[in-house]
Amino acid sequence: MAASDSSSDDSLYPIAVLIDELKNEDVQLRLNSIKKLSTIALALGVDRTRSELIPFLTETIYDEDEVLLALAEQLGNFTPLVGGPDHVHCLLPPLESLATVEETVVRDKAVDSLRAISGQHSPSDLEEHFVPLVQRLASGDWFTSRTSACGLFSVCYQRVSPAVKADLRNHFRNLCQDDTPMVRRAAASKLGEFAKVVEVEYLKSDLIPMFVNLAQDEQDSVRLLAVEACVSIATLLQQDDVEQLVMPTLRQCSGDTSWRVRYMVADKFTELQKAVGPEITKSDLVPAFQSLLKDTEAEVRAAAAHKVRDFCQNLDSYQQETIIMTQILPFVKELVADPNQHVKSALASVIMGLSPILGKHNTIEHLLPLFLSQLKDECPEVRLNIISNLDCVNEVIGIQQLSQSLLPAIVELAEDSKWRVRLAIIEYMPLLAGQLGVEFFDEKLNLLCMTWLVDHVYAIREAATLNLKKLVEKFGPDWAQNTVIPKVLAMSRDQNYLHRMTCLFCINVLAEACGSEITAKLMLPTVLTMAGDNVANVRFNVAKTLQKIGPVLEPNCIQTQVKPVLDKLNVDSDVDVKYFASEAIAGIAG
Amino acid sequence: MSSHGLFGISGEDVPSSEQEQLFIRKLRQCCVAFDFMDPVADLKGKEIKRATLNELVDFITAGRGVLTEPVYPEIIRMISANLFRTLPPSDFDPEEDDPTLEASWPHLQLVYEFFLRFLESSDFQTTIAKQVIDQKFVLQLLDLFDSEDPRERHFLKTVLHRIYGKFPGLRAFIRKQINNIFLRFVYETEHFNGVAELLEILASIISGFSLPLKSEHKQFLLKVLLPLHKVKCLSLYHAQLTYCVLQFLEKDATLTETVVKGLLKFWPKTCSQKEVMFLREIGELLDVIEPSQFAKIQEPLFKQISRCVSSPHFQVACCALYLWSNEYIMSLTEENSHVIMPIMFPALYRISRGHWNQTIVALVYNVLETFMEMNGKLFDELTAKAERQNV
Repeated sequence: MAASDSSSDDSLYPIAVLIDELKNEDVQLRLNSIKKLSTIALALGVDRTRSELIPFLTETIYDEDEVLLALAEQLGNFTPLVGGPDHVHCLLPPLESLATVEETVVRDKAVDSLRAISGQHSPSDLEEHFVPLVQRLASGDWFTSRTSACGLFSVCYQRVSPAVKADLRNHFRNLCQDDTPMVRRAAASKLGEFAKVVEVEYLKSDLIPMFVNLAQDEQDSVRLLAVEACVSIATLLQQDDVEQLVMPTLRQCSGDTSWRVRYMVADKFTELQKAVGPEITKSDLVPAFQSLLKDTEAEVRAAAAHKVRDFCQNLDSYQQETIIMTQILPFVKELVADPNQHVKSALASVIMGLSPILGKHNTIEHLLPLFLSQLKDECPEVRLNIISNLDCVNEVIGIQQLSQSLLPAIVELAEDSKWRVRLAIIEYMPLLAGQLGVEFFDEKLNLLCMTWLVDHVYAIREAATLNLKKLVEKFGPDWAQNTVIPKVLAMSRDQNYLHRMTCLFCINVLAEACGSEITAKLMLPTVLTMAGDNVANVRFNVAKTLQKIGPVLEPNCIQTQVKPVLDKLNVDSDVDVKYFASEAIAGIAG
Repeated sequence: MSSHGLFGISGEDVPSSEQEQLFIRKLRQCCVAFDFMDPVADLKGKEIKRATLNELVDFITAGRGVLTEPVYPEIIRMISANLFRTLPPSDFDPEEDDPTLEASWPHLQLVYEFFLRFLESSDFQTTIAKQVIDQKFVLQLLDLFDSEDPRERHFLKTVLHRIYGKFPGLRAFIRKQINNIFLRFVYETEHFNGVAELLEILASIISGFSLPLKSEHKQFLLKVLLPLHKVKCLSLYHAQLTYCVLQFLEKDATLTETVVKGLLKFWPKTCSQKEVMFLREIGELLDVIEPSQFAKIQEPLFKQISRCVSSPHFQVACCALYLWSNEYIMSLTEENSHVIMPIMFPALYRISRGHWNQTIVALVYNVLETFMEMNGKLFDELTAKAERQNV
């Protein structure tokens, strides 16, 4: 649609087309035309977009939520199409309508768009157009408009006059005390960002009381949102003010009757720690942390357990060790024997991280017993979490201390009846092997790795094959030649065809790591022999393997040994064998 | 020996002058909570409390003049101490899982029994009770409707119903809080276990509305009841929701257009199970609709029904076609055949020419036959038109 055509011809053409399309029964077509709104606006030019298109959209807003959502999104990018920042305020009427719609995603998008264009308003336009919109929404009679209003305060506050600022603060206060919990929740969730733009004196005089009220709301769903606001507010204040104005409320929240509020405190604990600073952390947060670690509700304890390492790491270095040893560790010890497995699992994922902080002596004396205890936990996830974090401990005390207990734990996990548990331990094997060293590995873990290759679950066999590759990359081809390859080749004579296939899969991944000589000398003969296997699946995998290891072999070898076998497979009785053989021949030739 | 008196510690009957004191003392005893998560903890204490609660239930059921003014706050205190708790974390999926039952039910059940007998007692005096059964109390009661345990919700339903009946001053508050619960359910969480129970209470509240309906109530229908149709787990409470909607229409038939428009707006696009529910609701609605209202909604409604009939999901198509097994709907169709037949015909014609499900084809033939009998001339015109377009 060329602009010149429509403006010289029927001057109503683009709008007429749009009107028509928007009446179409098919919602998909309506959606498409809304998505092309910017094209129509370009065709109309900025004047007519402002005077015709935007009013049209404002008046005819009633449609499926999908269409409204698309519209809300489009309008957020419409500033250049209405003539730039000087005219951006004409986008406000349709967006205001959209911000009152019932469906949450539509009004959220409308609010996003309003926030995006607010920055393009001049201060006088903000006062003349944007702020009245916010005021209207904030006084709307259905909760949807008041909820939307909450997200618009922080984006316009800073650039308006003091009198308007006072008015905005008043409106926000009303929203914090709104009758409907939905609105109070919206206000509470936006309180933090509003606090960031408000002047400190008003933060203290106006916003803190709102915060305190919300933190004491009768609905726990409101109170828990106040905890989030707490972090933002505390960051903005000086230490004395934090102690006086914020801490009483925070103390209340960490002892709230509702576990959901306490959970939120635990969840935000490291942010709170940074926000309140080291002194208040020592005097208030440490006791709070203790009570969360002992909370009656397992979810809360688990959330707190997750934060143990970070909390300890972020403690002020002065007295850090003492505080951890005397005030945190005793509670951590209790958690090792917690009745709930999620709590123990959460702890296991971070507890090793205490080792670098506390140093060698404390680790051996106090932490090691805890690690060993969790290594023997009945819940496999706990054991896995310990094993996966061994590197922290390795740096501090070396893994030898643990290796005695480590081995039985690994074996038990490797033989767990749930295949996902077995899978997880396989994935850690290369890491462990690297840390424990090749002798330990050969003695104790080698057999395990081979057993996995013949597990009855395919995913395990696959992971075990990959594991072998990584081990060979770590320990080298000589090691592979002596230790692994003989056992892999032995599988080629197994009665179970799946195991014979696994042998081929191993060769697929080992060839590159082992190099041309070993592959040709040791592994190729076995592959070629298997070309005569009586199971077709084995035979066509031979073809695939030959194609895979081809690049590693000498050309002479390929000509004299590989090609003849592939030619024979190419005339096999089985159609799949023929197919893969022909693919392999083509692949090798190319 | 009075079988309705309270027994003292020694098991002997107590003179009624001291009964009030003993009553209060036993109520206070029952404020102590026991840990039922540990099945072997404090078995003796649990048994004593259970026995005491039983005693209290019997006492209040049959006793006369036992509800003196001082005992009201004590009763509420005991009930609050036992019932009001933050429900534990749960990943319960009501459509899939079995609910986790309340561990302390042996005690809770008796507390609920006691509460009910208290409210239903012939001695119960609202004027005294309303000082202790206040908004804060009711709000905490409503929160409990999210309990996973259906037995608890059953009791709560009856309790709330009694409170609504006896405390006119609390009614507006209760309705507003139920609104908030539903709105949060629809727009924020899509999780709340007590929707069906609350709707059951609302059904009897709606049936008690006086005419003309207040705008508050109409707004409730439009902004709360209709959006409840949107939620994914509709099957858990659809029966109760339909009943509420129909109650509204019984009160004021002019609301039909609003209701049908709302249902069409929220019509399921991908969930066939929900579509079947919506069709059933439409069926029940049409069964009692006034002809003047029918005329207002027939066009958009039958456009949707035409789409349903064309659905590849045979249950949806079936349910839509079964509408015409209802004689009243049939007669309405006949009266308005000049509007409905042109809308329905293209889809029916298409299906009659071939559909994967033979039952559907058979049903479609039946409907087409009926159309032919209703208005043969129009039928022939439509057939001709369809054949021309087909070629």
